Amino acid sequence: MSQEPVVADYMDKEFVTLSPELSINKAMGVLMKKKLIAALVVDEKGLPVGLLAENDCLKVLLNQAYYNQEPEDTVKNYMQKAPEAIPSTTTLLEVANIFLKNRFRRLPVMDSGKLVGQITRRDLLRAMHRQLFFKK
Amino acid sequence: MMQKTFLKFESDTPLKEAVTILGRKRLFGACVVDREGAILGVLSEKECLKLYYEAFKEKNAEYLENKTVSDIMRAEFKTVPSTMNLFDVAQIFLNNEFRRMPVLDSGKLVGQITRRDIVWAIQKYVRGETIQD
Repeated sequence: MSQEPVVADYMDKEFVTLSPELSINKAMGVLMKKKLIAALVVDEKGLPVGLLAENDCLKVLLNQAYYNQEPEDTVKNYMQKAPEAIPSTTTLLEVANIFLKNRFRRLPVMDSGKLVGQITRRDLLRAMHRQLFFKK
Repeated sequence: MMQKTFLKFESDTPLKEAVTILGRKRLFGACVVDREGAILGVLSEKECLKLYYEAFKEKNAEYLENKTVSDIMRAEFKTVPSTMNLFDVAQIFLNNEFRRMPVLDSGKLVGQITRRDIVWAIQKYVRGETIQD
């Protein structure tokens, strides 16, 4: 009997996160240097509290350009609401459904209140592609 | 600041091949062109996911076998001319969800610009660096 593929098999267990207390300039630097579109913002307890994405950075940079102001504040002033976490037992099909219904490109994966990974829309598409074309 | 060399798919490229290439190049989408290189649409991950979802639901890879990029690309898309000011382009990205726009001059596809390109360019601008094309 073949098992339904689940998020646990395809999620990223090591991934870049940002602290809400990090200066926004440093945070933007991290995203640019690592060539990331976005990153989960995780507090000192290890819980996802927000998301910082390219559009958020764009807003900060435009303000800087228009008003010549160095932003002094931190990630928590600019981050978006974190996407809702899913358990690692969620099936790929269920995750696909979530991505199709929302504009998020990444989701935190949490088991028993602990952040165990992240899954991006790209990872999901690759996973489905592999499942459809390479698994018998 | 726009990309002059960028990934393009011809409209009859099989979807399966397009997804493989996007995965390999770590890209989120691409412009779709006809045989003469004229822009026809924009392909993005989300549209690919829609079809993969259906195939997955039916547990049927056959569903994707005959699909090409033209079956799922967005045929309505925003474009910008290469002369558009950095900040005007930024505003468009701020107000929309899409990540890329074909750059057209007199109807000819001359490049593509992504949100990332704009973020990079504005960052250079605020640092007082010159933005090279």
